[in-house]
Amino acid sequence: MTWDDIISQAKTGDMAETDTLLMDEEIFAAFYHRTSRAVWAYLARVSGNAALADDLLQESYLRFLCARRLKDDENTCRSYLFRIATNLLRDHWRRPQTATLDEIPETALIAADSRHSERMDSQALLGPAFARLGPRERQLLWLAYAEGCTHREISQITGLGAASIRILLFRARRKMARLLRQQMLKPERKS
Amino acid sequence: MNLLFCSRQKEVREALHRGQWPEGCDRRLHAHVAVCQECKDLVLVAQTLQQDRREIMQEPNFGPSSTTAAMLWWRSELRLRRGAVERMTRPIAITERFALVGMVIAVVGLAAWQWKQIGDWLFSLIDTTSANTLYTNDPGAFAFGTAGWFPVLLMAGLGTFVVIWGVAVFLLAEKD
Repeated sequence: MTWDDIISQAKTGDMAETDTLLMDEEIFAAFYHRTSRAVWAYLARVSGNAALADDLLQESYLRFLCARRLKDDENTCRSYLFRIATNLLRDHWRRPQTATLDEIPETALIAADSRHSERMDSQALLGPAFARLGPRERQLLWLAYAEGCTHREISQITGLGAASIRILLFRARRKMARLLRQQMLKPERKS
Repeated sequence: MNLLFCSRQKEVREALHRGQWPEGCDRRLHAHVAVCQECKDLVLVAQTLQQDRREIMQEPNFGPSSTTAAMLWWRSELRLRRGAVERMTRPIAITERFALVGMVIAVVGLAAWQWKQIGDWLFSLIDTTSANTLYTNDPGAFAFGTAGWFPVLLMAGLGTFVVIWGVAVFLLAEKD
């Protein structure tokens, strides 16, 4: 018996414990194609860093594949993927500064993706306003309005209590709307 | 109506989510949004974020870099494989460590238990060496003289063995 046989036996044994693996490479490729941009957009907008979003996107899918939640339906898989991405963001922020998500200085996240921001109208409006929000606020707003998640889904993804989502979202939305109006009133936008 | 939250907010949010705002909504909802600050905020924020997301989803140069699903699948297979190997070799590594600790305890225990005999044996070797130095003119002195080095060589050999063994264990632990 070779090592390859032993390893494949061990892997098969693991799979038998956690039910069968229903998603093959082809189905995963289709799932990746459908979801990767959305997850990337979430990571890039919340972190304000496209390069970091690239790295965390890869790690999110790797963890997703290794967790073997592939037999779940697409919505569950998608929600799980966002949860992994959220945890990775949190881990990334905690690692260098030992700070919680709310303690991260907002100025450090001002560069809300510099790669193509000049090309995008919405980004020109959204970027400065979004950069003045806290990471938690950005996270909630993006999930609620860009991704269209329900409060329950947001609660599952972020780990926040379902009851607090509504009030946190209300505050974040009011702040964001104020910042967007200020942004729209700026002279350079009028011209 | 809630003091904080507008009762029609859910309706506005669903219309926005389905892409039915503003064309697909009735005039009453439009009239409500025109006077309700909370719904106005909701429309402004949701439309801006949705527009940004649409641009990311449609812009070919924007979005995740060249990572492909095949590459991720392959990397996940590697990671799973490594995990399987680690899981399989963990009991072996634990057994090895137990054996190592057991061996050290056995050697130390034996040395402590038989210390008197070991001491006598070592002293007898040293005595032989001292006795040999008295017979320097004896033709067989060379042979006895080398025998006198035996404890020193034994100690040096044991010391070298312990050092090499320690380095090997350290390197193996690092590799793990």
